[in-house]
Amino acid sequence: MTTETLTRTTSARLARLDPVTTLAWGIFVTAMIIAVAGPWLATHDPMMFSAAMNEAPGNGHLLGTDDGGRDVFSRLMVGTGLSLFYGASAALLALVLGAGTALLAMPLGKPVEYGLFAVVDLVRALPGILFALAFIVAFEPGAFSVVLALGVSFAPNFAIITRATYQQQMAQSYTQAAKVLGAGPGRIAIMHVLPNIGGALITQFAIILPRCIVAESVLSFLGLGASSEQPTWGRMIAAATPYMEGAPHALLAPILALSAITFALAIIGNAQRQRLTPAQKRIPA
Amino acid sequence: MTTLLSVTDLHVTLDTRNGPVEVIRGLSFSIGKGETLGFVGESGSGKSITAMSLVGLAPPGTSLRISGEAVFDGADLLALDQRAMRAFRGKRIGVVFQDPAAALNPLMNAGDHIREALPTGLSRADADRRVGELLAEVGLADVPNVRRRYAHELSGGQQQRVVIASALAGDPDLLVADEPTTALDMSVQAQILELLHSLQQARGMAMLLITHDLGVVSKYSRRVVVLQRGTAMEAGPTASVLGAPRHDYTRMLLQSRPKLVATAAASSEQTREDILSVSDLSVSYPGQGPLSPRIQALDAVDFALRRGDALAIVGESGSGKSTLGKVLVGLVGPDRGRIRFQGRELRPARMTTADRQAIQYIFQDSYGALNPRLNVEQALTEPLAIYGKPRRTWRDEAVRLLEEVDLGSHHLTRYPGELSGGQRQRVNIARALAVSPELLICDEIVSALDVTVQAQVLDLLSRLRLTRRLSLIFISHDLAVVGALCNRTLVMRNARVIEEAPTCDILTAPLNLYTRSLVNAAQELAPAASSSTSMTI
Amino acid sequence: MNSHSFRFAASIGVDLLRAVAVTIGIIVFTFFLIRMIPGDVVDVRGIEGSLTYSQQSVMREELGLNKPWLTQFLDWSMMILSGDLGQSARFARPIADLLGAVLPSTLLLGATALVIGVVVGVSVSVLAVLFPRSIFVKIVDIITIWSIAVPTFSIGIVSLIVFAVWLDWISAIGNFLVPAIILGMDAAGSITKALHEDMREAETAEFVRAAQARGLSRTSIVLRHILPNAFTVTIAIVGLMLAGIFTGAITMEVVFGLPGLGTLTLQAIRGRDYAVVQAIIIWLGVTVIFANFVADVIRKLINPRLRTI
Repeated sequence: MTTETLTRTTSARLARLDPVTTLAWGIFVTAMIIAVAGPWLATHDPMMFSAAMNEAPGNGHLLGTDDGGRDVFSRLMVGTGLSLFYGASAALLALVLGAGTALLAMPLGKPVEYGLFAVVDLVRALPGILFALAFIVAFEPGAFSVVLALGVSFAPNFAIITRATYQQQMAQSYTQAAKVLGAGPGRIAIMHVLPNIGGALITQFAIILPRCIVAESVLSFLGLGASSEQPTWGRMIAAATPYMEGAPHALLAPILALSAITFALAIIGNAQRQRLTPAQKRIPA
Repeated sequence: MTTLLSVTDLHVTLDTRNGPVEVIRGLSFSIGKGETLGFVGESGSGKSITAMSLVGLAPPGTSLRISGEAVFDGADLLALDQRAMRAFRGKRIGVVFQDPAAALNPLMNAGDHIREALPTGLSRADADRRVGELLAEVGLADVPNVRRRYAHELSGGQQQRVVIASALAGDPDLLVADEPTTALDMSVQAQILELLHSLQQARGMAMLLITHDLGVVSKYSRRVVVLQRGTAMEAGPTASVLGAPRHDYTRMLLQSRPKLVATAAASSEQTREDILSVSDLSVSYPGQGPLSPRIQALDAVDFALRRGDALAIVGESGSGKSTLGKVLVGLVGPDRGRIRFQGRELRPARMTTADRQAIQYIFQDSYGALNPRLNVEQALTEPLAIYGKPRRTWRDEAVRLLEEVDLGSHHLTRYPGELSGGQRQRVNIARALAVSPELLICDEIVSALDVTVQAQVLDLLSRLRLTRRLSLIFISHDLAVVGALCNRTLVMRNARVIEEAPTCDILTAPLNLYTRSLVNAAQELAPAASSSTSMTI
Repeated sequence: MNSHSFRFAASIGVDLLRAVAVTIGIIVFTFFLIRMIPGDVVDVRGIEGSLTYSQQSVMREELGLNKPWLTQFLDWSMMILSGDLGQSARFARPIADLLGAVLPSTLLLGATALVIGVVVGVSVSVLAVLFPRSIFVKIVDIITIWSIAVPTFSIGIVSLIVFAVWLDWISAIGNFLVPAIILGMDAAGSITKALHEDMREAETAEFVRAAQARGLSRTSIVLRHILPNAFTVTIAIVGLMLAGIFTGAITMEVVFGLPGLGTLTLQAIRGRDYAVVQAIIIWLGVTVIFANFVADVIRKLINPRLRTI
């Protein structure tokens, strides 16, 4: 067995056995289950106000109630799916926008490439949230604007990765060798370029996804994201912040949920990156 | 002669990420004061690791476990701790590295490299003076502003001179030269070896000269150690070891050495028409930055290749020889010029399928040319798929191709990382043969291989030339390897063709001054071959 | 001027041109993005009932909002280029005054975070490479994972609960230091991740072995050979990180209720005060572009190979 396959399998095994990574996968799977089954797990109507405001956990409310007397546990169950959905949609949009435009533009030659990446430079120069804020102002606050804004502001990450990997792959001797053999652009793209870009994009997606989830929460927190009808984590945090002295549980529940999922995704993404890196590095001949 | 370094029963184990590897098994040798000892062996023989382990330097990402004894001027080097070892590094034992471009810090200029190697406690003026003296000693005094130049502003030979100067800055008693010319151009190699030799003589220091090249040791060292897989196969006076080798391995090394002799015959084809003719071909690349001038890679190149002939294109790095090969398969677009292939115009920018199939190209980097995700079978069947061969024939065809290049069906499931360099290059050749080309272009395909493997691949190409009735273009920096394969040789320099003639004429009676200097350099490194009588003209 | 300094100057000139081009791009982008919005500041104040209809049209006239958009753009561009950021319709004050009032606190927060990030990140990375068997290697791992896995927003809110509610320390330590440390440690994580990895990579370079063979001490090898070679990438990262630090500063200001750019931005957006939003975007964009330009110049000072024209 050669060095390369050895390191790949060893690190893959380590990545599986590492207890932190195992915990991360556990959190991730739990979150996915809640995201899908949330509405059925809710014990109360997450929207129903009651007079029992800011009550501590217990007394029929697993995680207590918030400032409107709504059941925090039920809101969390329903909100998880919403927050993850908006975050994932934004990350997916960024992936499609960034990778798609780069992949379409790269074969069209230098002028198109330079033009596209001038725009990428521009978007990157603006602080992410501020850029999103400008977008939200332009399209009215709301979930749609948030997804669109985050998608656009994270798209450059994918465009840059795509361009770098594409250039790197096209410069590889083996894509040139395939060209010499008579392989057309389609075959080269499918056999030689895309498998490698795919790996890089998945890794980048794993890094961007938690950042999109957090950014969506921040925007909701600032009152610019999902409408108040939707109990996203950001909305719950915003609503609970003024009462944190009397009812810290209403604040802690969503913030811990947000922290747990970003932690899990970041660890999984990092493990994924570590696993791919040695395989991409070539051993000396 | 008093002994300077005496190594007894040296064992070295490398601790790598994948476990320990025993690289030196019970090696003993000694170097006298002021003597040059040659260390010869192929890659993996442990010749570099031996030298580096004496100064406690492990290859990156590994650590050394050493046992045995290495007495240097009364002190056992292997018993020293890091701090005590530092007193020996640079001051008693200097090291010259293989690749000077890598051995120089890209962010530090030449003067600072030498200055930091000087003994501490010198005044600024004294240090400046010493740097000047050392630069003069290695022949760099006339290079303008050399102290302030960075590695990328120096030529390969100049870089190696800076490395040598910094190795001499501590006035060492022993200079370890680890393949000091392998990374350099042919004409520079001889100069650097001469420089090292004269420095060794003038300073009266001992030198451990590590090389894969028997010619080098025969010329510069009186005694030699032949290494294979971490043990000394043979040791003794150079003349007797190389003149009358007692060991098979030494004999094989000697036989595999390329000889500076033209033995390849011209094609025996009846029709002697040109398969390829090139006229006024020019190529330029954009410079580094958007405003830099373009770099001329080919400047009005003319040549023709007869069907069935094997043409060597020889030149040093940057001469444009690789670009020429790449234009012919459409990997690089020409600025102007005409290429005619098999009587038709060939347009590199829009090559027809027939042209693609007829001209194949093999890359120098055998590893990079194979997609690491595809195994040998997948790599070999890709061309079959491209040209629409029926799927059920693929496997048989792949096996047949492997056998043609002296590999077997058990290699089908291997991945590129699981093959040796020679095997990978054979797979690349088989892959090119899969489309039944008329013309095969080989770009430095043996330069990364050991001499014994090199000889085998060259034999394979000679055979294929006959069995497949191939026309060949063989691009090489090394005049010595072309004689056995190519009946014609074209010499390039600075993007131009400077001479083209039958190989035997080039080797024996070059017209051009530069060609003559290349031949002389090759002869100097291969003195034994010049006395050979097997010259065929 | 010799060819060395000419090439250096010329390559910096090219960078400067690029920075100017991106700045112009941001000015154009900002203008048109804001103009896409239905409704303007006058509408909002009309809905709020603070202006009558006739007052509204007078105000539109004053602000030039009824002119064709191209005229508006040219007028506005000239104004911006002459250094006048305009007038806030909502606060009825010059925008320069508004920005001037909040910028010092945001800049101080961002700069403190940056200093903490660079000092902690660089020293931890260097110490971990200098002493590869010490606790510093563990610290590198912890800081790195922390900054990847724990967003500043979460940790900001949690520390607000811990310090302000449970411990009631926030008045004692001041509510400036906590966000600065949170942002600083996040920056330290990004810097450590990049710098430590690059230093480990540079450590395997042949020139490091060559330096060892010359008898140099470990300290001078790390500081003179390994660190400079790894540092150019880190400087680029610090340049790019600046945008993230401002984002973080804005969020932290809102979380911790500090006056600053974040609060002003929210007010301006909620009040549809385009002129202020535009000015903030342009000011931040130019700051980030300028910081990246400075980072490029520093990288070229360290690494002569980057000085290509």
